[in-house]
Amino acid sequence: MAPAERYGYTVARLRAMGNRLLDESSYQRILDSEDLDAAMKVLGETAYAAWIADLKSNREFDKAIESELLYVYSELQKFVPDKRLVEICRIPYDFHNIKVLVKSHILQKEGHERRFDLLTKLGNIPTDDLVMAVESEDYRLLPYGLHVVLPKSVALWEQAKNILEVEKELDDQQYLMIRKMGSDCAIPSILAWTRAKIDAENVRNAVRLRRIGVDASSAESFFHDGGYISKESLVALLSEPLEGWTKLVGFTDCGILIGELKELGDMNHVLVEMERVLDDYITKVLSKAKYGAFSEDNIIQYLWAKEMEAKNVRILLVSVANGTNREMVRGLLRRVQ
Amino acid sequence: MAVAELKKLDLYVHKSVCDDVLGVLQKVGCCEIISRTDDASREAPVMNERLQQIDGQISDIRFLLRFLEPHYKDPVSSLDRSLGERPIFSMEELEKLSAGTNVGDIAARMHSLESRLMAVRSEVSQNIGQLDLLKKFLDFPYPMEFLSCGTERVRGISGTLPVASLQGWKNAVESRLGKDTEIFVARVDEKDPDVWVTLLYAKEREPEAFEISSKYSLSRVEIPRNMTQNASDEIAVLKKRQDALAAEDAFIVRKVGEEAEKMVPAIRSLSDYYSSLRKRFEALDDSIVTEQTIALQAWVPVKAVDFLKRELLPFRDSIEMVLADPGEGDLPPTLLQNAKAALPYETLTKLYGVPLYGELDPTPLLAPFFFIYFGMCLGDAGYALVMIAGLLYFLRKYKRMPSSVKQFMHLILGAAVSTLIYGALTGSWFGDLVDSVGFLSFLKPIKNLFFVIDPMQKPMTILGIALTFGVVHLGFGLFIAFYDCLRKKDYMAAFCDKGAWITMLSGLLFLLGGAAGALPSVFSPIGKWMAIIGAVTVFLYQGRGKTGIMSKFFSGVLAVYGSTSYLGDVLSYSRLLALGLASAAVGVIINMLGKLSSGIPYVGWFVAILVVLVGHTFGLAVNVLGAFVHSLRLQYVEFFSKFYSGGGKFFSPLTYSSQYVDVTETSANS
Amino acid sequence: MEQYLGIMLSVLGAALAAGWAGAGSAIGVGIAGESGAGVMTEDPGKFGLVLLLQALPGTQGIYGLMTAFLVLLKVGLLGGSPLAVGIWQGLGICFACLPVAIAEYFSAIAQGKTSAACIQMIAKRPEETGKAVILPAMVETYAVLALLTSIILLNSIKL
Repeated sequence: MAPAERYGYTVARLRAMGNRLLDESSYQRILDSEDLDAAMKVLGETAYAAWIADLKSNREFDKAIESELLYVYSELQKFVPDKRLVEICRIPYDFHNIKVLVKSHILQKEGHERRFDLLTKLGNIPTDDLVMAVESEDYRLLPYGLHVVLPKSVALWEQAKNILEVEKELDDQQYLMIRKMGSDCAIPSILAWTRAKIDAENVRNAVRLRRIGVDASSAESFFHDGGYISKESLVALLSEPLEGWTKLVGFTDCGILIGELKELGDMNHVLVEMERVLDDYITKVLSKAKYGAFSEDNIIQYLWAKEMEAKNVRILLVSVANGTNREMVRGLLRRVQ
Repeated sequence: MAVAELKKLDLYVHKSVCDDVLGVLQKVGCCEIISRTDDASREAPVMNERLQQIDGQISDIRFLLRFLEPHYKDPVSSLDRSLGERPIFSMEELEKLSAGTNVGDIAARMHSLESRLMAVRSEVSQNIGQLDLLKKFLDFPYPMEFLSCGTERVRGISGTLPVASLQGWKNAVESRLGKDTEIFVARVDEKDPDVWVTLLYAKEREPEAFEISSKYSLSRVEIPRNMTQNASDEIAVLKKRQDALAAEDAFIVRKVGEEAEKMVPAIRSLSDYYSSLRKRFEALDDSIVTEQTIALQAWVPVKAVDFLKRELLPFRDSIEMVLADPGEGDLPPTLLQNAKAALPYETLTKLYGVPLYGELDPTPLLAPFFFIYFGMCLGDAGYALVMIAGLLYFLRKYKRMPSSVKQFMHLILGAAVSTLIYGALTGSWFGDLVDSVGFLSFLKPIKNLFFVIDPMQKPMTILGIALTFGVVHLGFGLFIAFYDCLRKKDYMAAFCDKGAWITMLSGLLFLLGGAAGALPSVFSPIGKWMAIIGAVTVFLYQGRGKTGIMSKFFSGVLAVYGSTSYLGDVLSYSRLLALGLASAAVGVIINMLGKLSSGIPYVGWFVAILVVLVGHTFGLAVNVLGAFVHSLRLQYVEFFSKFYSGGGKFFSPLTYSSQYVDVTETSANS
Repeated sequence: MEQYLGIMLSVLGAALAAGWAGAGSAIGVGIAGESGAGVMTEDPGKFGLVLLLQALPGTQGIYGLMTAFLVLLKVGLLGGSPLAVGIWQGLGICFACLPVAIAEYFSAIAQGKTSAACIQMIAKRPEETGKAVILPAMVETYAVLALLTSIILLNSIKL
């Protein structure tokens, strides 16, 4: 490994950039806005201003958020010494795109319209290349093991016509890649982050499976390897009421969080709550980065913080636009740092 | 010398005069409003609406400043501005200004200009891309229509192909599609691994054309649908468009520049106006609002109480004031109050963190030591003269500088005086400039007049002096701690802890002094016994809190062993010698370099002057920084650790915001 | 031969002191500068503060230069005719330079890292500049002590 000091520039710049993340009071002001236009005006005082001017209407705020994220990712890609660290954070977007494409491929075969508008530019693979590959069914050049998995998932669909199976296949590959890239970096803190991320995804899946009532015997394949919580424990969760989960997996940091959930009655509510708790869990795992003046996890930490900020802004704007109950929205906001 | 005494003010104001009273509080600027946001009894903030309105204005102003300031040439430089050269306004004038300016309208106008500018610029960059693309088709004899949207019969694709597969692709096209196609290949560039090709084909053969092309990995480039004419015609149209856009861009920029010239000063003043108003209404947000009255709480320095009462006299019928001493659970802020001589050193205390309310203010205690240490660390009279001249110039030129800047300048001015004295005593004037430059030798008598000791020759003497300062400084720190314990009536800690340490350490000193022969030999036995008594007390005192013989014993031993840290502390003062030597030596080196370079034929004198000027400027900068940091460190690390912990919150009263203009009391110049 | 060996050993000492101290400072200032550039990319207004913190690990180089200078002055290589330096005296002078050569090199690098971290700190909390300047200065203590040791050692060698 090269000397740690090469991260001096990067971390210093990220610290300065971190300063410009929206703070509580900005969120509050957005939330207090009368309508979407007023909220966008508040957002116009922040880093998002550059993209807002490009919007045709304020309803398109999603575009501004995506542009800001894209800007941050491409900016970081320019100055981060180890590009893999940025790449690994963009992987979920690649897989999002793949899912969109596979679905639209299927839809097209069934005579529906293709939905390319759902593609995001935030992935590592340029969307054009992806579209080209899927359209021409030529997967040879795709990275991240997609050259194997994509044809396989298309074939899966042809056989079983079960979209869940396809998603499962792709998710598996996504987390396999994250795990592999994480361990390729050979940095303990990054490794810990990938494990926490896998845990979070597994627990989220457990809640989802619970909601749709999948029984324990067929659930194992929905979980990913590599977290702190073993697959067996996760499967065991499904036959246990939610109240008992803490007991089963409370030995891990992630498991403790389940205990924080209140009102375990309504599963939809639990799922929403859980998403927030799990996001906060990752934030907490990454917050240790602030003690390292030259450590690589600052990059992941900043990107995650930015993602959380984007998520918060989206939540706020959607709720302002729809006039959702403000108190409830406040409870949904993620911690950023 | 001390932390100023504060009173807790409970102010009940009738709603009718609420704004005016708050205005007065802000004007006098001596009340820190206590936030009561967590108070359960607080009702929904009534004034929130006004705050929101102001926030709206402020957000418009921020946008305007962000957008306009880059186009504004400030007649006052930013240095001048930060040193106090800014316009003065009274609150009334600002109010008039705000009434006459519709910030929202201006912002809307600028917003539209900005989005127009963005649109123009994005079109320009889009056109540049299209122009680049079109240049590739200059050899293409047909209209672009074939490629962009196709005609009824003919279509085409265009893109890049690896040079290696060019021939294969050509053959494949010819053999499969035969007569229905036409191929154009751009000139092959030797270095470029890809070649630009265009393929025209009959519409119905499209699938085959696609298949072949993808097989030979042709990466297709979309031609925008709006391109229909020949490439050269399209280029001409685009270029014309580019010119028009450039003109519009320039027009908008010029217009923004004019607006900026006209508007920025007013917008800046308004920025301060609205920020001041915001502060005022925030105070309201922090208080309890009921139907008829508003209950404010604030901290007021005792000295300002009478003044405040006088100012609030006109409202005496509608307000009720209750003054009280700080209570048990209160956390009053800290306001430092010092005599004029010690005032500049408050900067240093603030840098470390102000004391808690009711604690000792270390400012006057550290002042003399900082003064001396800085002088010893920098130690060059020549540098000191330069600093004094520079600082006096600034202090004279900028009469209205903010008090914090002024204090800092006075601090450095004092330090420079100390440097002058020490430098004169050690005979260092820009290193040895007086001795080494022939024509300056007439200054020698003046130099010799003050000269006492040369640290280069007798470093051990100066080291002795430096360490003595260390002993005195540390001892002083311990005595303050001792006194502080007495003041708080904590006699146990005073005598058994601080007192014992003093006894033990001075005993050790006597012992050492006696052994070394520096003190009469009677001091040796006295010192021995003092050290033993002190050590035993420390040992017993530190062990008292522990249970069990062993842990009592070990914590006692550890405490006594802690005395070695005093040795380290004292040695740390050797930096006074080292830094002083360093700056003197650097000066000498620079002079010597100058002397060496003066040997160059013809231009030698010029090079020599340059070397000496640049060298000493560098030396001055580096050594001032070093002297400041190290004499500060001796205060913070060695001195403060004996008695001071900081941790207070600085008193921040409700005042006007003055980022761009000075807001004065009522109409001063109207 | 022998009459030169002493003086050459002194030169070796001076060279070691100036060389290693300078190298250390260069690395230290470089590390701090990288962090500074990072902060300034986002916030060019912090130039003054960043420069101040970046300059801190530079003093070690000056101490090295100064030690070298003192040695050269002592053996009369600067201005004047070289003195007769015996082998043992030369060796002593060479050894006397080692505290500076070693401690300045490592302390400058360590101070550079601290400065870099402090630059990151003022990116987040510009109001804490005072503390940010003190932390790197803590490292410099040991550079100062080494310098002092070298000076005292040099002084104690009689020619």
